[in-house]
Amino acid sequence: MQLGQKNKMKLENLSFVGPCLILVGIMVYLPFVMSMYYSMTKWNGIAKEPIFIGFQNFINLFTGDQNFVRSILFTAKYSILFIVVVNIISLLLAVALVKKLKTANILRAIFFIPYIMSMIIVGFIWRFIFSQGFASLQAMTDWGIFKLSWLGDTKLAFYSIIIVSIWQAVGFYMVIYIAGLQAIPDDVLEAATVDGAGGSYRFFHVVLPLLGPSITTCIFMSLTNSIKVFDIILALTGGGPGGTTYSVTLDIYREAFQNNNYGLGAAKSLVLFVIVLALTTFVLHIFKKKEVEM
Amino acid sequence: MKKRLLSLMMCLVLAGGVMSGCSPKTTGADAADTVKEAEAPKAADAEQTETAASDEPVTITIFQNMPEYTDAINAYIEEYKKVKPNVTINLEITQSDYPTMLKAKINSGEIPDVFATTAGGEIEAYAEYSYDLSNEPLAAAMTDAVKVNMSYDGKVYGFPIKSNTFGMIYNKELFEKAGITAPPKTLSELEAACEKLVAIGVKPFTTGYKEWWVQKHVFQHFFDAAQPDDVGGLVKEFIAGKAKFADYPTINDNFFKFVDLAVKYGDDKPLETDLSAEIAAFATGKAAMICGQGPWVEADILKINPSAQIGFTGYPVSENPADCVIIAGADQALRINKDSKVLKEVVELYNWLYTSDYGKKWFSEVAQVIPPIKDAPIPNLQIPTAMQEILKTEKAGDLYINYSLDSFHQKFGEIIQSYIAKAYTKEQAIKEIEAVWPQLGVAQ
Repeated sequence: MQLGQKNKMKLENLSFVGPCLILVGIMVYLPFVMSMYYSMTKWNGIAKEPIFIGFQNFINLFTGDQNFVRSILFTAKYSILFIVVVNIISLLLAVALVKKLKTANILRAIFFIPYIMSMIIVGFIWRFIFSQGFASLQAMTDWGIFKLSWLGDTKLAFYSIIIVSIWQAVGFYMVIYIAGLQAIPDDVLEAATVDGAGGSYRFFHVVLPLLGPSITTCIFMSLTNSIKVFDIILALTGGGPGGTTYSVTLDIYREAFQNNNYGLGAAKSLVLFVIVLALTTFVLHIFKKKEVEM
Repeated sequence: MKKRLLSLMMCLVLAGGVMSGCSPKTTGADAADTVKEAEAPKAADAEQTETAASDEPVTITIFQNMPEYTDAINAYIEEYKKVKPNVTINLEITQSDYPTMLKAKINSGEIPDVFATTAGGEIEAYAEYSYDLSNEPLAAAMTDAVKVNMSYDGKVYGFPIKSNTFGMIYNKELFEKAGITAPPKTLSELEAACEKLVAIGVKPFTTGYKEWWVQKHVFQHFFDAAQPDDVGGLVKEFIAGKAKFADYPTINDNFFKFVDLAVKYGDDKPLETDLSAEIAAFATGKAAMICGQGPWVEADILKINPSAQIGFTGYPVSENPADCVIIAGADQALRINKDSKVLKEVVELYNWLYTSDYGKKWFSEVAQVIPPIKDAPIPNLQIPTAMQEILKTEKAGDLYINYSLDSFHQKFGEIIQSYIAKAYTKEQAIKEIEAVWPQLGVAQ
């Protein structure tokens, strides 16, 4: 009887999970395995038969391809700056917005709204602000800051992208931190106060350690999101000026679909996969270790 | 228990749906086979039954880019219904990412009957999918320049719905106001004209240097002047890594001189001006000359300023006025899938568009483009009319952009952007262009 029940349960579980499993398999894992194959071929995405060339693509990638190395460096620079800045700002905002302000709810909504918008639209809005908007502001105020070519200067374009992506993402991380802050029980904080902990001491030695799970989540999310950055760059600069703002994903896209080197593009995306996998496991491991139990 | 059964059945239905999603491919192939079998006997006695067979209802699928001509294309489809009521045409037009979508369709085996590519390098890349049109009436109707752009290995593999022209667009009124009597034909005349325009408080240039493709449009005039008789041959030399910029002063020095001039006398933030900013600056009279554009901007300029007086001329590329020519030809092609089930009907449709009386008028009156065919009227627009005037007395340059792939042109645009941003010196830029041309110029 019990055995029959168990088998039935198994069947039921399978029938619920099965359709999803098949879909995910077809949409995610099958293309993944296929791209492993394509990464070992020379294929332009058009021809009927890809030519098998073994590991030649990977060899070319690390010996002759400056674009890829440049885009990895760009993405690394971007990721570090993005992770640090976005987490600090969103944590500060969260701390400010859990206080009992009258406008707290409205402010939370205001900071969260950019996150709901699609990245491409955010990109186009900011492109308009940087070019036409700043031109009009310059005509009105004559301030030097508006005269700078924010998207046309090779160095400034990088910071423009950082500013816009932080503006877009900060609301999301803020919400995670707010949830984390609200979950800290009041009695712990009261106990700390009674024991004589001041404001900043209480924050750094009581609140921050208890926020561990939120911090892990936020760092992890911002890490994966920043390595995969694509659409906002596409909309803002399209990789320009002079190809200085290509991220790895944009470089893969260009290689596979614009340069018609599908095989090389697949090889690049596999390398990216390995990098993301290694980095995230490493980071997750470190932060998990540091978390404290509540 | 009943509930459980219900949910189990729902799951099965869902799973079944997933499965059936995969199945049409096989049935589709089966269907194709049966159609072929059915057609085989028909082909045998096609001679007697040709008229009867062509009355059967058929469906043609067209998948192309250039949404700006959607209305015009629908107009000829409408008109063709009157000629052949049995032909239904499914038109699918997209702009964003057309090449990617086309590749997806081809790889999934759903090749449309008619599809679009660029001319030049892609003519070769898609040759194995394209029907050879060399002996069709539409190939005979093409202008010679267009036919060259559509051919690979001596065979005509495509046909354009418009011919194109490239040159420098200028504002006639502003030129007159500044006291410039004739458009500049040499680089020193160009510099003098810029000074005159600055004197009346007008910005001489708007460059659009944010767009990488602007560079290839401008550069081709300089490249054509380097070896006017065999542009394709010289490109091949560069792709083979044999030719050097240093041997051709128009591309080695004059082009960079022009870029310097355009930046000096151009927009405040050159690498931020895109196409729309460029059009706005020109149409509102803030700038007197546009870089790297052609007839396609005329409609947008007139939308902002209906009374704009648009002039059209070649780029000054040297100190010899004879080098200053406009360029004409076709850079986009429609292709007919050679494995199409309705091949005969598709070919018939485009022979009709290229040779019938309606078709001849369609180019200039409905689509308002420069016709790709001989003896058809030119549309009543300023740039095409100017082109026709110029071509009465001068020869047009060759379409250099067709001889390399866009992968190279894009990299080229980025290198020149770096030069404008002062990240590269002229020598570094040239060195990198020479290095990437062999890698990206042709399909590997």
